[in-house]
Amino acid sequence: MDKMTEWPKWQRWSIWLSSWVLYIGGFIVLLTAHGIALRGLALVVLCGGLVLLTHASKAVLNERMRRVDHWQMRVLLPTFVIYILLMLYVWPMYSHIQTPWLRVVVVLLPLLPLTVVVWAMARYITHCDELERRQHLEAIGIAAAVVSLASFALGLLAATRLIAVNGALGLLLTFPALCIVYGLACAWVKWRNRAQ
Amino acid sequence: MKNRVRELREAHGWSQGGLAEQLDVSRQTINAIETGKYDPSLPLAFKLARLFKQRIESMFEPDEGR
Repeated sequence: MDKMTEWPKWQRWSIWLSSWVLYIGGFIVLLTAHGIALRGLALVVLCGGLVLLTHASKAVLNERMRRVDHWQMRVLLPTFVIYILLMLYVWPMYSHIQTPWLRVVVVLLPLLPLTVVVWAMARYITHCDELERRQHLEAIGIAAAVVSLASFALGLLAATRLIAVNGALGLLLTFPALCIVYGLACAWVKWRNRAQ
Repeated sequence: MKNRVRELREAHGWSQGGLAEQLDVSRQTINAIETGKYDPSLPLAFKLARLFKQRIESMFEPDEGR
């Protein structure tokens, strides 16, 4: 897969699109399936899609996979699998646990892989080159601004009871929202740099 | 800032990706430097000058009026 940059453009874009299909498809099946076999299959498809997406995203930009990219993949993939398994099979057990401290531990367990993800992202950015670090900084700034303004707007609407917002859900969605906007901003910043 | 990175790279017969690999940066960074969208830091400018065996001032020149 390291030679993907030498493939014709249409092949690289086809692989990129297919990897998104695998990634999103695997995610949807994982969320909706109940049987352990189907969930396992969805997890394999999801991980395969993620690996392919990482390679294809580099290839469509004519970039090679560097040592730091391989390192990130080696750290993020198992962490991602652990997080999914914890959320699917360990986290729902909290309602059956009577001991208060053990319940807190089980409920907060998904924080461990998420902390590894944040650490891996920080390490990845520090190992990027100077232009990429500037782009990441810009993307993080955009993500922070968008998510802060959106949550402030929701807060204003909820405080005046114009809409009903579930507080727990709002807090839970802050991190994923930050990650999604950061990812989109990163893609936009790179694209703008390429298109100028 | 004007620079002669593209000219020197082509004279050596290197691709942007090849030069990026030698400098341990992304191809996008080389492209941004060559097209004048990004001015490299001093350490990267020195790395470029050393690689092409040039004096740094012969490779980079400030734009007039800036």
